Amino acid sequence: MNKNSRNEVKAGFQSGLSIALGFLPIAMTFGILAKSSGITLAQCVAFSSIVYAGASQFVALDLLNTGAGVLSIIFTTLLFNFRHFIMGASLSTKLNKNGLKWRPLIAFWMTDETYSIAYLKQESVGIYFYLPMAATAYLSLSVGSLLGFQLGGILPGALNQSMGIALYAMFLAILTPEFKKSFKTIGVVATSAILNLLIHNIKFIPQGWHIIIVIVLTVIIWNIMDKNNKNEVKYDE
Amino acid sequence: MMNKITTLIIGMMIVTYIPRLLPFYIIERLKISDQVKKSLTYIPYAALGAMVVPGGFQAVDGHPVISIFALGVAILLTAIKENLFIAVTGSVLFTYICLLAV
Repeated sequence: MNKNSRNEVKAGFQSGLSIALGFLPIAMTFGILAKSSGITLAQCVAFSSIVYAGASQFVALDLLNTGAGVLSIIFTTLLFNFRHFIMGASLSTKLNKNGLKWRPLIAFWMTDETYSIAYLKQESVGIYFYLPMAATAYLSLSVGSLLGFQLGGILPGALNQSMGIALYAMFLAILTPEFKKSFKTIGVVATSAILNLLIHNIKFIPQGWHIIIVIVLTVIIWNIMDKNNKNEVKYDE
Repeated sequence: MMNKITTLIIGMMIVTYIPRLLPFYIIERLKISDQVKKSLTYIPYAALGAMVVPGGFQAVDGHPVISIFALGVAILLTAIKENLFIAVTGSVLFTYICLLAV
């Protein structure tokens, strides 16, 4: 491993820690809820380490508690996770050659967070950065679930509560440098933010569909804008 | 012996992994046009916008004002120095101090 790859690994772990900070309180909450739902420790950790689906794990617990059937929970999970298909499609175009044989693991470890960092922070996505980052994030969810199940809320209340900001702070820290690069980015982000606010108020659309609908609509809207602007100024390219 | 939870975990694993894995194998086989390629570059921004709004405003339970200021801290720190970890820990610390103060 040359010096360059070592730096990539280091940067990967550092980004992974940022994600872990956000994952830990979520994972511990999951562990606590899992215990109160009456599932075993092994099953709780299996949810985080085998399924590894974040938000839909909570939805699954919620549905279990209301007595929903296995098939309907699985179907809801599929809806929730459909966004990863689109993210995977965009990430795969940036994967460099050394990443090809790691695709099964890269895909398994792809979350909203690892995707966003890998896609926007990296010119091309390689394993030296991606794997340490994604492994740290992955482990933090499993370890956090275990801690939550076994120990309950060990973090002081205010600290636990303040860690709730971590993932959102991270998303904005990813976006801010992009805003400087192009005004259009602000437009795209604002479009999806507004659409998401609107869709939250439409009660008959299940929550699991929100993000995928918003992403698709935003992309369509900006494609139409691009078409309309084609013959005009081109300075934003 | 397969109980309900074990079946659920396996089922959820399948429907979580397949949407993640599939695009990595099918995209390279498709001849994608420049228009579609450009669309793919909008996806991270569209996803991030929807992930931050409105969820970020309620990030600190019961404290929307602290949430919004803490998000501002993350933006400010990033503008000063582009480092995710500094921005994230700074924003968490800011929130922690605010929560202790209120």
